[in-house]
This record gives sequence, structure tokens and C-alpha cells, in this order.
Amino acid sequence: MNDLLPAIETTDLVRKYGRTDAVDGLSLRVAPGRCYGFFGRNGAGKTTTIKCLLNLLRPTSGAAKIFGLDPARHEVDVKSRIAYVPDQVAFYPWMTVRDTLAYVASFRERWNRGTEATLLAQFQLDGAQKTSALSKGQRTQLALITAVCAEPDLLVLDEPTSGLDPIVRREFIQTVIGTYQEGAPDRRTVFVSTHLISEFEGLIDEFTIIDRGREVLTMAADEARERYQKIQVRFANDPGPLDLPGARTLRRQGRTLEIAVNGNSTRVYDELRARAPEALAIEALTLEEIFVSTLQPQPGLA
Amino acid sequence: MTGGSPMWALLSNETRALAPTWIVCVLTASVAALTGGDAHRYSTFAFIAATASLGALSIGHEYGHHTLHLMLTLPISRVRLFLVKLAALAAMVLPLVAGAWWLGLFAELPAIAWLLAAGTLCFAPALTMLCRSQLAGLIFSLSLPGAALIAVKIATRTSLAAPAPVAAWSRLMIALLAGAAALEWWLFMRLESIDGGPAGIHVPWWTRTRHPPTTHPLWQLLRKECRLQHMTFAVTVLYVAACTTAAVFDVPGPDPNVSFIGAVTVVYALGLPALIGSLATAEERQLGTMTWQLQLPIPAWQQWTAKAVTTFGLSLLLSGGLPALLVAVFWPTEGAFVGMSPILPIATTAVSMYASSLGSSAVRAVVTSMVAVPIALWLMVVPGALRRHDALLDVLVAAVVLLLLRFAFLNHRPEPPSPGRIGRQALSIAGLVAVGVVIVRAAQF
Repeated sequence: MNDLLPAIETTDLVRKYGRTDAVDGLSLRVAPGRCYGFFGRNGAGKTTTIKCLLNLLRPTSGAAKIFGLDPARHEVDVKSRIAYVPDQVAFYPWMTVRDTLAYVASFRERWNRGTEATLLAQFQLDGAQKTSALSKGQRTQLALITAVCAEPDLLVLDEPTSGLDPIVRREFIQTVIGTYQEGAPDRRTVFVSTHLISEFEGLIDEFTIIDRGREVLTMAADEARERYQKIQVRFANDPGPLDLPGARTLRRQGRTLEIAVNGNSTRVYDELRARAPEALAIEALTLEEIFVSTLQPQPGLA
Repeated sequence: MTGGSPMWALLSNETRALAPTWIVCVLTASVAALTGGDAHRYSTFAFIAATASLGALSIGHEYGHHTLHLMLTLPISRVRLFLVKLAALAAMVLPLVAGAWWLGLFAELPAIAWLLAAGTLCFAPALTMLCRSQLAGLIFSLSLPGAALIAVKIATRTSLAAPAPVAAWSRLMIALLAGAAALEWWLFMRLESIDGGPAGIHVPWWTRTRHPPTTHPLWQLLRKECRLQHMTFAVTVLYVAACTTAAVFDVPGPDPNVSFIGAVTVVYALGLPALIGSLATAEERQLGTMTWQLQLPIPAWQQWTAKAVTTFGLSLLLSGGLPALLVAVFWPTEGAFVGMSPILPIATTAVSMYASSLGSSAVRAVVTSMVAVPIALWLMVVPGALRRHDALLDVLVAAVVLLLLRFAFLNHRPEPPSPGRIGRQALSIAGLVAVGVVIVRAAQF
């Protein structure tokens, strides 16, 4: 019964810092088994939302639930099912890598020793090294190991790849998240907050873009790729101003234009084709381009 | 559970976090028990501060190490987390205070020992969470009993030496402790992991500008150093308020042997230099601003000079000048407040600046310096090896101060120095002191 409940659900969530609304009436619903992207610019309220979800901050108003449970009232039930990798990772400086893993493991019902050994080797982390001697990237790697080895139902990642080198970043995204979800694809949920969206392109099932604490766009990734498309067109001569309702120029370079369309690609495509261009191509926007296109101030029509 | 017992893991982690400070407490109690006179009084005060800092560190080390989210997301209830923290703290504090009582540190007023234990368990953690700063938790938990005593004095309008106010003060303290215990529980159950460092206590009205400043970089550095000392100004405000209240309500003048406000003055004058120096480097490391600060296009030695000038200037002005001024204003019949020789605040400031350069916790630096100074006093003066007022001794102290400042400057980097480097520096300091003592002693006898 509980498995049918959303992994994450917020209703009109508000969190204020003094007079500033860090989160302003945010409503989210994340189905279990999904890899959910939570995108926003710096200061958009992503980390504050996550902290409200984890009972690390108290909402000013509204509600946040994890697997249908209030994280404040059912804190142990909730915390037993989640693992969190914060944007700024810190450990007790007197512990070694292995001490830290043993410390975290002692609180967990499940702990995958095989995954621990594999990831330690993959990240080339020395178990005997003190955490105070780890670099920022290595601390993030250790945090990822502590999160994944616990095999939680919900993995909450706040800017997980910041500080990681490109090789580890790729390994992390492909191996760590992939392996984690493959373990129980219908049960394990990943909630990832990032602005390095392109790196999670193939993994995200659904996403929400927030700005100034408010939801701007929530959509399944496949639906978004169908709806948000990019038309590249090159004319024989300068086409002059184009009147294309619902479309906007991403880039204009001489006779070549790149136009973003939102749900009306066929009509815009047909209108452009009627102008007999030299070349005309249409493709889906990437999630990053959708993010930029959604949050950038709208320039004039194409 | 997959590993060892989670309770055991939590307990051992808490013990490990508090162990260095606990060892310092044991050391201070031993020095206080072995000494007499000023060194004994100073060590006893250092012991009280170090013990109270255990309470502040109990929660404060999570702030200091940025591990609050790690603790709060462990799959264990906050109630159990709280109880384990409290149990670990009590297991460390109660034997410590009992030992100090047994050693006779509080022979004149044994109740102080139990007030210290209760305050460490109740006031310090609650105030640390309230201010989101272990330093503020320590300072205010040490100030609260004195503030309560002034309040009782005002309410009863009787002499502090009379039994009635002391009884009323005891009742008030019990009520405050009960309130702090409830507050501690309530705050921990609602504890939030908030970015942006400690809330701290800021006294910013005269350092705030409406327009972007365009003044000389050195002036900007001095202003920045003053802003780092916000806790110093908070303590000074408390002290001025205590003196003003005492004057208004006719509390006797500053004589450490009989007067409450005199005792407050001595504690303030001895403790403030340790606080000022301790904030110098550790606070910048804690704030994470040191890397870009050192990258500013101004020589590091100039930055350091601005820091040292501000630190020593504030130390002498606020710990020496201000009490003298207040006495002249409020108790003119007492004559000029001579107080202590400026050597002690200068030496304490230098020691605390060096302690501050060793880590990122101002509380640890305060405790370390407050312990180091009485030990140094004891080693140099108390055994009778040296006569106190001697020019050669002043030269020796000046040499040690300069060496400490030199090392503090070398350590003033984003990362604390390695244990090996600290060891070499400690050996150098010890060597200088030993050679100096031999020379001074040879000259005296």
C-alpha cells in the first residue's frame, strides 16, 4: 500500500528567512522508482526545499511528506528510508574513511559491503586516510558511498557532482546512480538537485524547474523533449524580421537562425518551410536548453 | 543494524569530540590544585571556562565541523540523539567537577562546583543552539549567573554578602537551570541545519555603512578585524551594563576580595584578551573567508599587521582602559584602578593569537590560551625560581610574545598547520622559555 504513495510530496511549501521567501508555495509530487530532476538557478530555493523535506529545516507553512509520512513526526521511519548527499559535504575530522563508513553503517538496517568495496576501489579512496585530509571531491565521493551502500528507498542528491573530476563524474552518474536504481527499479527513487543538467540528461524521468522558490515548470522528460524543440533554418537571403507566434530565437547568425518552439513545432516548421529555406532541421531541446529557455528573460519574437 | 551498536557509535563519537577539551580541564584543575595566589585563581577561572566549553562544544562541534546535517539525518530519533549527547556530556562533566571539588578548587563556596556542572549541562548547550555559535554559548553561559546575581541584588536591595540574596540567587538559578533544560530539549527537537554559519551576536551599528566604502585598504582591513571581534564587543557591552547597574544600585567598588563587581572586573580583564586573540585567525577559518582574504593584492604581512594592531589595541583598550575609565566614573573614591600589569593581557593576547592560528575553533583557542597562561605563570613565577617584577623577566616575556606572533603569522593560512609543525613550534617556544628562565634566574641570584 505504502509503495503507491509518492516518494516525495510537498503542498504549498513555504519557507522564509526573515523577510525573504526562499521557498514560496511549492507543490511537488515525485512518484516512486523515478529519477527526478530538481532544477533551478543559484538561490532558487533548491537546497532549502530539500532541507524542509529532510526535517533539517521547519517549513514556515505548507506540508512536506516522504512516502506519505511527515518527516518531523515520523522522523526515524523517514530517515531509515532515505540517504542524503548535501551540497557541502563534511565529516568528523578525527575519523578515517573506514571509520566513517563503519559509523554510518552502524545506524543502517542494510549495508552493501560489496558496493562499499567496489566504490572505494573505483574512487581510489584509501580507507585508512583521515577525512580531514580528503579533498572536496573525495569527501563528495565518500558521501556518495555512505548514501548508496545503505540502499535507501530514496536517494536525495544536492549538487552531487560539484567538485568531482570529469572521470569520476561520469562514473558516478553512470555507475552509481544507474546501479543503485537497477537494484530495485520500481522502488528506488533518486531526487537530484543540480544545475549541471546536461550530465543527467539520459537519467532524468521527470523534472521540476523552480525560480525564486516557485515552481516554473514540471514535466516528464520525454514529454518535454517532444514539446520543446529546436528548429535550425538557413535562408538564401536575409529573411528580415519573422513573425512566428510562440517561437523565439535562440541564436541568429547572418542567414542562419536557431528557433525554440514550445508545443507548436509543426505549425512553425510549416511556416518556415513555406519561405523556401536552403536548409531546415528540427530536433528536441536538451533538458539544459529547456532550463535556459524557461528561465531566461524572453527576447523578441523571431 | 549492520555494524556495531549505533548507541555505542554515537557515544564514542561524542566522547572523541569532547576528549581534547576534557583533558585540558583535567590539566587546568591539576594546576589550580598545585598552585596558590594569582596562578590558582587564574587556573580556577580557566577550569570553569574550560568545563563550560564542554557544554558549548557538545552541540557546537557539530556547527564547527559542519556535520549538523550528518547527525540529524542519521536514522535515529532526535530524542535518542539528544539523550546520548547529554549522557556523554554528563559522563565527562560530573566526574570532572567532582574531582575539582575533591581537590579543593571550590573550597570557599562548594555550591559553585555543582552550579558549574548544572550550567555546563543546561545553559551552555541551550545557548549554543540559540545563538548557533559555540563561542556565544560559552560566553553567555558564563555570564548568566553573574547577571542573575545582579538581578537579585536589584530586586532585594540588600548587600551581596548577606545570606538572603544568595538564597534568592540560588532559587533563581535553579529556576533558570530548569528553564534552560526545557529550552535545551525544545531547541534540539527543533534544531535546523542552516547554511551561512553561526548567527552569532553582532554589534554592528557603528561599523555599518550606507554607501560602498572607498577608503584606504588598510583602513578596510582594520574595519574587517573589528567586525571579526563582534563577540568581544558583546562581552564588553555586558560588562559595561554590569558596571552601570552596579553603580546605579550602589554595589561596592572594585575590590576582588569583597566585591562582586570587582570579581567581574578581574574575570573580564583576564578573560577578554584570551577571547580577542582567539578570534583572530580561527574565526576567519571558521567563516571560510581566509583563502580569498589572503589573495587580496596586499602583502600578507600588512594584513597580519592590521590584525595584530587591532587585536592588541582592543585588548589593551577594552581589558585595561575601559575598567579604569569605569572605575574613575562610577567609583571615584576608589582612586585610579591600577589593576594588573599590562604584561599579562599582552602575553595572554599573544598566546591566544597563537592558539587561534592552530585551528578553526575560537572556543578551543580560548580554552587553550586560558590554560596555557596559568601554566606558564606557575612554571615561571610560582615555584619561586624568579622574582616577579624584574626587567629581565619582562624581556623574556617580550621575546616569547614576539616568537608566538611570528609563529601565528606563519600559521595564518587557510589550512591549520600540521601536527609536526605545531610540535616544532612548541619545542621552539619551550626552548626559548627554558633558556630565558635560566638566564633570568642566573641574573637574579
